[in-house]
Amino acid sequence: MDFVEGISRMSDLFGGLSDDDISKLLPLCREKVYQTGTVIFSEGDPCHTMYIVGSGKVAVEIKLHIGRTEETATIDTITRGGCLCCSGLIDPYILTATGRTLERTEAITLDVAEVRGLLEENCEIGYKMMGNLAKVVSSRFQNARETLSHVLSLIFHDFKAPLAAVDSVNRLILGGYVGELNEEQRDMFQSSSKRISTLLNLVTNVIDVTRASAKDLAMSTISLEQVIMDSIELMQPLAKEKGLQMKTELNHSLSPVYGAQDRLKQVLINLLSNAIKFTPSGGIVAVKAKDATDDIQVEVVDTGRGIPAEELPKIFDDFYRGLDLDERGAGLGLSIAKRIIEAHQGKIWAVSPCPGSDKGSQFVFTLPKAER
Amino acid sequence: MEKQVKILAIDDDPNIHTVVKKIFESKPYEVISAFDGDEGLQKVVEEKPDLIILDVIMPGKSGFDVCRELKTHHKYHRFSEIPVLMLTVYPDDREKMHLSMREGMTMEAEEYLHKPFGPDELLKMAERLLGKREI
Repeated sequence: MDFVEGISRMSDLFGGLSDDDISKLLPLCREKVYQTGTVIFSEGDPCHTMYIVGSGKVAVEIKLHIGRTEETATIDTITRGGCLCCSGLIDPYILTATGRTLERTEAITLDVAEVRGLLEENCEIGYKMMGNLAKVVSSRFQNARETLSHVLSLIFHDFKAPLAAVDSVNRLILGGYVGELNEEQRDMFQSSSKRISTLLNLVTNVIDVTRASAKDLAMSTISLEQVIMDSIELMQPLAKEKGLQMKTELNHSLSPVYGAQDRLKQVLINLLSNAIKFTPSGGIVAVKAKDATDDIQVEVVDTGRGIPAEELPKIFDDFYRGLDLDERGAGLGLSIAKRIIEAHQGKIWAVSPCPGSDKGSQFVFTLPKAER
Repeated sequence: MEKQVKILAIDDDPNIHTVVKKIFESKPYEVISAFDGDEGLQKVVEEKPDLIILDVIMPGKSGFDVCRELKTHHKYHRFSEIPVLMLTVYPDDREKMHLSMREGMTMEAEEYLHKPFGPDELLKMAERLLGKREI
């Protein structure tokens, strides 16, 4: 019984139970060994048994239906002390995942009916175990979310790669590399290229949303001044085309920040392209940056029509497109910016109208200074 | 007769091969195709190309793996100077390569181009890399 007792004491499900409580549970425990690659339990089946892993590794997998195909995603890997099949304690007692051993695994099994019977008679144990169970479920849920977000980015990559290939072929044809086109053919290819670009932008934005957490960003110590100058250079033609003036007010001794250069550029480009979009001809779009005590503060200010008060709290939400339906976009630009800034431990917010003015908007973000 | 310039394209997408072939065969370039990393590395040895155009995400070895092997493995030391032009779908890929390089690896590709790309973009970038090689 030593093995069973040892494992029971370190199980996440039995945490906080007294010796007396454990001694009541021990008679329900059986030892079992599974070889590598064994499916111990399957998603959708009724749950009759619970498991506590003693040694080895069990992958918890969920089925994902993507179009007509079914994929499997591992949402967690359970090792020594971890419990499996908590569904046995939760009505309707149906398994929500599949368990597959990744190596030879020793486990303790508990008959669900017996455990439930014991808990009915010993409410104190039941109360403690349910508390532990809530923690386990919450951590599995968090893992499932992360996995889904990763899967989503893979799916969108699968969309993006063929779209990019088709777009490259279109550009090849439009470039005259496969013979001359007549005017009608050129028009048709151009309009199909335009549609594909729109779709590509949408897909790229969705990938960016799912890949904006801190662990996805390749960070290093960088100069924000360079990021700002590069972004302005890129957006300058667009501003000029619209008859806007672009200004910068940079403190030239800006402290370096620890960040992902291309992604911060993306934040500025998103903010600048919004500012340009919503500022009428003759207006001004300005970027200001200064050192504060612990961080660097960057502002993108415009003299445009501003943001209605009722929209301000929602503009950073995913897919929020604003009340003005003429300005079409996926509604992801600002939510990507927010995610990227937050992954840098920074903050981002908007003020409208601009402080000290009756029009325009001011977007501000902060980034912590790099440790010297 | 002048020696024909050889370009090796490694990509699992046949459309990309069509595009690359059309672009380069309008010039006096020969294009060789490989559809995965292992075939690509084998063709590097057999064909000794002057330039490698390399996709990042492929089944089996990724473009990063291929580039790393080519630039660092003693088996390919005679070919490690061949310029590599990487075709990426994710904008972060370049940054990730830079970081890996700082970690002590000399696996960086010489150039990066985002998919989708225009024919002139690819041609200009490739010719710049080929030009560097001749000097």
